[in-house]
Amino acid sequence: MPEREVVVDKLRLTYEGLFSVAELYNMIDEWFRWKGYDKRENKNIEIVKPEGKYIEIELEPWKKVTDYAKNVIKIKIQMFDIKEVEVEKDKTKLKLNQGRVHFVFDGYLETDYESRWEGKPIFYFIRTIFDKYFYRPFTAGFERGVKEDVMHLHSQVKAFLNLYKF
Amino acid sequence: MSKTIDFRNTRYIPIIKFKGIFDFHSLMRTMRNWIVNQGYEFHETSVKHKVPSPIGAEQEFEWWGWRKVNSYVKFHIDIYFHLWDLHDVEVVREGKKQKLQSARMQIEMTGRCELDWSNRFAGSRFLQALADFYDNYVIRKQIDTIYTDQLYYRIYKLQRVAKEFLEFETKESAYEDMW
Repeated sequence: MPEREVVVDKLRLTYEGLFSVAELYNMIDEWFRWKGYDKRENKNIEIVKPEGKYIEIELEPWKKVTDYAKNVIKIKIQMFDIKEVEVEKDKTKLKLNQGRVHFVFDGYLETDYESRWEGKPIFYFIRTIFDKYFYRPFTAGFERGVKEDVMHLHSQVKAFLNLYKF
Repeated sequence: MSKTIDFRNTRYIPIIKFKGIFDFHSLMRTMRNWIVNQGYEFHETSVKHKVPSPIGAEQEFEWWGWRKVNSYVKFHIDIYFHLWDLHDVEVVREGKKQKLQSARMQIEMTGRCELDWSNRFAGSRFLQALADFYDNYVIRKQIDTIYTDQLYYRIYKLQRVAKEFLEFETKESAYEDMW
């Protein structure tokens, strides 16, 4: 099994008000594509309720940085009481959604994702020694990359949701 | 002997869950048509129907689609539907009465990439070792970046078909032009 280092642990963001669910999802999806991540959608739940839709999405895209290390960003989005509303802005009618949305961001650095160093205990030992002492500057650089990506996505989502404050 | 790269082991399975009113038979038809139109052989491998309770029936379906990509690689798509509390409801849509279904549903889609499906390298241990060398060194990059990647994103396209049909808010995909 690959080694998973937690770089960003449960970074949260909550918003309540007007926004577009489809545009928000698109923005996140496009951001991952633009950054070179491969798509991974673990879960996509929609429940139609009288008080509005409940939507839950779990994305876990990944990007291979080298043959040994891989960036993984996990984002869990829960939306509550999502209703469709019509809003007038600059004399044009917009179809938007209203509700509560809650994000949880996690960032991981996965090393030895092809499990090449796991065949024998000695390999596992050597790998750990190399990771900790010899390869440390590289691993630290990869971890920084994961953190930067998660923080950038977090700020992009925040900026996107701020656009709807009118 | 052929070798299989199963997405269940290497990559996760995208799961869709939905609760609401929808046209179940049209959904099945739309998904089946997509599989057939993409050139896959279609098989319904299992159908389960449990004795309905007052809140509805429980049903399970397993589908399998396969397609030969070339003389060495074969794609398999596996789909699993599980429905609970399935019952018919009558809905008036645009002035017309329609019979739809209300249920809780889970759809799981996954894929398998079969190598050496024609068993060219079967027969002896030497040939098997040769096949391993061929897969691990000669066409390793191709398997990773062309075959499995293609199948992986095709499954997401099929997932989008289901999402569009169920009118999911998240039906769009930025990866639509991949493969």
